[in-house]
Amino acid sequence: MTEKQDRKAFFRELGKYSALGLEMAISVVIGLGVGYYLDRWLGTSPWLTVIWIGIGFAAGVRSLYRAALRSERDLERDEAEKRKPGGE
Amino acid sequence: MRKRIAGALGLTLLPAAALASVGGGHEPFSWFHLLPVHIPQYVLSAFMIAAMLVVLSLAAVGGKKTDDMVVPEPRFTLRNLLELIMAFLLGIAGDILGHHAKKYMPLLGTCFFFILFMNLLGLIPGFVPPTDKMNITVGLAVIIFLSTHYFGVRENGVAYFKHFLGPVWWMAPIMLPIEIVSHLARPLSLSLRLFGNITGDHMVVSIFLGLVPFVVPSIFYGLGVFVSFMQAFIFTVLSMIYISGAVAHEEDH
Repeated sequence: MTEKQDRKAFFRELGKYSALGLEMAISVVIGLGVGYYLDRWLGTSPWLTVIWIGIGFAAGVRSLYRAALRSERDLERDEAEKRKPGGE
Repeated sequence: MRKRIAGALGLTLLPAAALASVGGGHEPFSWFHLLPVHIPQYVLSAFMIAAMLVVLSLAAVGGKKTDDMVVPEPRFTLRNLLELIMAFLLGIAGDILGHHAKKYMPLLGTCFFFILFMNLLGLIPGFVPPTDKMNITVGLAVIIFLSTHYFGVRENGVAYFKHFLGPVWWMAPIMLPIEIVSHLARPLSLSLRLFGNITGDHMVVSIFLGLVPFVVPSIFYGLGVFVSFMQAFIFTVLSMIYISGAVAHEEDH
């Protein structure tokens, strides 16, 4: 039973972390795109590009932070479940 | 008998030969070029997969009563195979989404099977996997994106949009663009990952098929099967994670 649980947790974490790298990179690229086109539209080059790259980076860190919170909660729950049936 | 085997072998090698002889301006061979229609072939093959899935599921469960479905069939049949895969998915979904998992399984299970068979189609000579076109993968990711937010609004009401404003009110003007960008990055990363992996895998197989038509490509066929499963699975698991983030009632995500 515990081995099956471990395998499930492994797959879950695998999916989660394989998402993170691409998500962080794409956040910065989206920020860059938004900033670039706003700059071209409003003629404020380069300030909005710089600001929106910062926002994109923050968005990447935000998704990292969210994944870390989730991961912590899931692992804690797994530990609690593992401990329950046997009793210390 | 031997003639028939040789014929079948020739038929399967034909696309490989056509692929190998691709010069400038020639498109790779595809079975869909034999049809007298001018619809892009990734659309045709996606429709073909959809129709195949309908037929498969009707063959597996069609016309049976719910009471009969409780007892599994004694031998290894199509229905048992599909139930095995669904049980595996449901186990992971229950882990991520909690006890509401079954509510979201129709969407997620369909997504998994559709992507899986579209990926695997690329391994049959003469077919191009529909998932190596951005149009298809972006379409799938947009469906997941929209339904995630729909589920979020359905579960939490208008309070769902408070998540976009961050923990304290004076940070809202900063948090709003950050949250929007990080939510927009999700469908883009979903579609880009699927598209990139399948395109790369298909290209590797076709290049090695062109270089060495014997033995060596089979390694990459094995790799292709693995990548097809893995990408379909990752797409589904990430959709589950996004949906669970949207429908969660706590404040901590």
